[in-house]
Amino acid sequence: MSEQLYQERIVALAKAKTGAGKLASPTKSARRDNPLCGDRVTIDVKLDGQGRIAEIAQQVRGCLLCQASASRWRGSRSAAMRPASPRSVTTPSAPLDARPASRRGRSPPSPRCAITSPARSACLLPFEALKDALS
Amino acid sequence: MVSFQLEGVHPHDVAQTLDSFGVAVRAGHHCAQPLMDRFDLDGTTRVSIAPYNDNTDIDALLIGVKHAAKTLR
Repeated sequence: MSEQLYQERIVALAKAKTGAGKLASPTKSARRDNPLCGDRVTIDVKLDGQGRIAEIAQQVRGCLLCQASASRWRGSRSAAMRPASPRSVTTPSAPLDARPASRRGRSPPSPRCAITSPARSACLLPFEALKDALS
Repeated sequence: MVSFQLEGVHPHDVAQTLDSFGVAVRAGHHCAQPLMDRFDLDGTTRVSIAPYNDNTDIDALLIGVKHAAKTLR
């Protein structure tokens, strides 16, 4: 029996549901479905006069990983994790590494440790929806 | 056969938790996306029993569902 399916931090991020909901008057919005797992993400963004993201909200109908991924934007205080402009929004192309931080960086993740589809797709779906909204 | 939703926990997360308890179930749309949209569901967890299942399997299922509710809500 697995005592903990996901890391506590991931569960906390998902439970926080930071930024969950709709914006009253979004500048742009987009909905993305993952046909493989059924996850659905709707993103609303409000841009300021300089084209930067002033507000962002999301509705996630998906697994815990997808919820945590979307919740991360508003929950993070790191500028690197908070999209500042449409041009700064990119989706990672390298495999995500699921190993503990202390074991990362020494070598590429093995297929067993790399987050692959559908979990990887769930993590990326909010980013893909945001890219759609900003395109 | 019983399809159910555990409030506040996605069916795929329920299924993965149950898997760690040795209980194999199916989760998701079950090839019935229009029906899920009709009821505004993100999917269900579906449990079925077979002739080889016994009370210990049912107990494991119930423990696993309680564990998912406790840890993932």
